[in-house]
Amino acid sequence: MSFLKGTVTLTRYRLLEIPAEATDEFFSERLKLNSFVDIENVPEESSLGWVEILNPLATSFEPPSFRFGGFWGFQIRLDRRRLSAKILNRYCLIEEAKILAETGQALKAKAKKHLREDLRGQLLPKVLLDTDLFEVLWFKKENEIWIAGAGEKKRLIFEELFDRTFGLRIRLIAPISLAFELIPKELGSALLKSQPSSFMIGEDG
Amino acid sequence: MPAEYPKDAVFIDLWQEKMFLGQEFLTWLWLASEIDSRFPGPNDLDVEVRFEKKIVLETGEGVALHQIACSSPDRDWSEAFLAVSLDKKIVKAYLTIFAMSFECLLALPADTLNPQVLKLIKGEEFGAGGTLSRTGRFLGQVNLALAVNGIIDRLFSQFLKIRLSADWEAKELPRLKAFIEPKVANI
Repeated sequence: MSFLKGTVTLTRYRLLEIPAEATDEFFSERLKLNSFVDIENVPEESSLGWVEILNPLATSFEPPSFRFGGFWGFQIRLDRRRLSAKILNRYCLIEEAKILAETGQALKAKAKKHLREDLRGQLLPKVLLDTDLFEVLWFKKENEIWIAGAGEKKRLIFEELFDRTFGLRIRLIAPISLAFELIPKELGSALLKSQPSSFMIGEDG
Repeated sequence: MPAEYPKDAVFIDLWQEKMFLGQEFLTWLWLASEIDSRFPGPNDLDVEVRFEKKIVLETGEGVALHQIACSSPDRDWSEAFLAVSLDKKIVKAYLTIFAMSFECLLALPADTLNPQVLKLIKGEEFGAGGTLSRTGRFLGQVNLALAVNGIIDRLFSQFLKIRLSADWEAKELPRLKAFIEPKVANI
């Protein structure tokens, strides 16, 4: 789901700290520093970083790629691969058997551990990567940030990368925080004291 | 001047404690929309709200907590009326918002009130025939989502205005209950 596909799920955040200089240079520099690094041929399990919103393969972050009138837009890219223990064990057993046949000696625990790590490094790049992409929009005037996605996992991924990149405090927009923004000051106390009502027929309040 | 979020409040605690706000908002919005589907929208233009497909309700607490989904393709909602009359809370609903220049279907969860599965349907085609660039389509969809969020915030604001006034218990709750009562009388 994404804006371009025409169906989107949103999570909204309020920015609690305003960057001192929200210039093109500020965004360009921060985004580049924390941009996505390709791990296609590298024995890494995951890579998390920013990519351009209209091109998930680009990380040059020239201002026209992220500046859109009233908002800035970027995309989070998370590539992951998982080598199952079952597959790794199988390759370890084959290699250990080969070594035993060649040397006549079984490997000791430490050597087994090294062999396992070596094999892991060789096998990992062969595992296909799973790519997750989700858009992030930052509305200037409203100090509001949207991520195109929901759920705790996505929220944590976004919060980690946002903190690492910008170091600014944000808070999820939920009914209670939104309520404080929408009601006049004099109703704040009534909101804090409010208790659930019952819609049950035959009951008051 | 808007109210201030309490500085010493732990967000997650307050969010949990006031979870009923989103649930009551959805319940209010549903019942109010069944009575009259038109609500004041931005720029003094009315918007129409129609609950569709499915209403998810929750009851109980802790291990006894369970959810029921009431589907009603013909928007009869007998089950959902009965559930609300037994004090079950709406935790998620699917609704269509009709505004002056667009309509859109979305799911609204009570815990965040952030739109989910928001299908952005526009009166005019969004460059389906290749008339708009990728950037143009993207900006159009963002603007629609902004408009939808603006409408939801406005509806929530209307709810809060009534909910935090003396009229809630004196007038609004009795009005909503009076609307449900005949619908569950023969079930």
